[in-house]
Amino acid sequence: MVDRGDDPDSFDERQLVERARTDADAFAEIYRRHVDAIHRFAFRRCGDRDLAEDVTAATFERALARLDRFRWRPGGIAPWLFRIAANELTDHHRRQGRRRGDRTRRAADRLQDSVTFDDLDRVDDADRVVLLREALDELNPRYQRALTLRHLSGLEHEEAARAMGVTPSLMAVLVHRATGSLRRTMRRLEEES
Amino acid sequence: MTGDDDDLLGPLARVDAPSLDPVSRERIESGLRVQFAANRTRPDRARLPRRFVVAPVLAVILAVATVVLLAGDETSVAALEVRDAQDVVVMLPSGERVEDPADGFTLIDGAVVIVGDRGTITIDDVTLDPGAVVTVRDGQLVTDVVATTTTRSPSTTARPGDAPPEDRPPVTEPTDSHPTDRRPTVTDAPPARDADDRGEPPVDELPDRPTDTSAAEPGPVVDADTRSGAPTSVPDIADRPSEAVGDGVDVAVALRVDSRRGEILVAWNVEGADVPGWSVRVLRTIDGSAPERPGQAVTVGQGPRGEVIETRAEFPDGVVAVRYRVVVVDDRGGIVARSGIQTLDAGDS
Repeated sequence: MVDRGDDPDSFDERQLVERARTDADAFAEIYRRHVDAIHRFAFRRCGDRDLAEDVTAATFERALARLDRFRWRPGGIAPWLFRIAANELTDHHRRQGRRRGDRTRRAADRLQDSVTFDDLDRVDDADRVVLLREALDELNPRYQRALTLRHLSGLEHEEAARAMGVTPSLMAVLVHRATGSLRRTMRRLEEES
Repeated sequence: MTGDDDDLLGPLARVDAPSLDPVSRERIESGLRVQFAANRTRPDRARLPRRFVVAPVLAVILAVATVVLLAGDETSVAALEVRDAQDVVVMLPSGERVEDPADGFTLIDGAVVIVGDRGTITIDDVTLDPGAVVTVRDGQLVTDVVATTTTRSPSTTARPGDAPPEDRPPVTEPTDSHPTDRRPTVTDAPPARDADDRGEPPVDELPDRPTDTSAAEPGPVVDADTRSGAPTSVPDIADRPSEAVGDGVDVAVALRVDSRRGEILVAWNVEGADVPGWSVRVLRTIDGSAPERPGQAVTVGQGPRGEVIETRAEFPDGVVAVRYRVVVVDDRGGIVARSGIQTLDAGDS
């Protein structure tokens, strides 16, 4: 379950969101409640501290700019924030995937390698993480969003579906197809390497 | 969906994500508060006649000042009002970009004002000329050139599609590290010390990070140390290169400390900038108290496609952390692309 801070009561949060439309302190409270979860989500996806920080900042800036368009849904504002963050991440990787050359690709890979692991038992996980990120980058943006929202955000399935803007059953189909695509992409990348 | 499906992304989900550091957390929140106030200052020009805009703008000016004061950040109290902004981009400490700020828009500490090639803006009593880049620091406008370089490859200066030289934003002259006469009230930082004027011991070498020298452009690296007068070859310096965020443009920036000379070497590279009259701004932030605040903006000029340009800058005494970001702007001052943030943190050592 996503970390929603000390006071996850949805009624309070709904009031908070309403106040945040006109009250900077209320929006700051929303920010403080959700910033850690959004930052973790961004970091797990990209593996780069600076980029994760940029994505986190951009997520809340966009949320603030679009708060008037937010309509309250069960599950609160968190799915909406994750949706913005996921869009930021997929946009970033789509741009990078289109244009980065070998030089910057290697640089990015090295940044990804900066993820630290506690012990040697997790070296396999480290390799897997690099491969997963590389494979995710190659998926279409919709699949990227589906997988990251479902598996990296901490959102429950229904909340992740809400973040995707689809029904839970369609979300299940999307995640299943995206997983298959991810698996095939990983296999291909492993063969190529 | 199978359980195997669920675990496919398990290693990624189990990555031990670091916490957002408190300074960054606070900085983002401060930026959001500024944005909140600024959003309310920004009139919808398409729908509102000007007379309906004045009152809200004034209200927002007050709100910005109030928010800044309530934030309790002593360094952010400074505020300057702008008017008559045309072809101007203001980069707020949060990274938010405001184009042609409305009259009365308040500049807070750390804001960087970039005037386009045909732009102008008046800040309090100071009117900035086209191409000017200034930073608000301690309530004053600062236009200090920490490092200057203009290095162009003969083969690329006349690329097809490039704007003619006269259309380009002014390029900082290599030797111009001193205040300009046309801005009498602008406070300039001390000029960069001469290479012979370094009695202090060199700064410590920052810890080496894994260096992939192949990450640097294979072509010659140009030493644009303006004090040397002539370009010289230097070793590869790419260390933690960072990729760009921008549409159609790649910007890479890398940092390294030259402990012998007590300098930071900033290597940057721009590819794909096919917009007319593009130029580059290097933004620098000093110390961890406000790690991403562009405390100083350095106009670096225009670099050729595909080459790594190197800029030297001092690593001032007592500095804990220095961060750089390279921004590519078009001939109207609009941001085309920006690099990631590169940090040299003495605290790491």
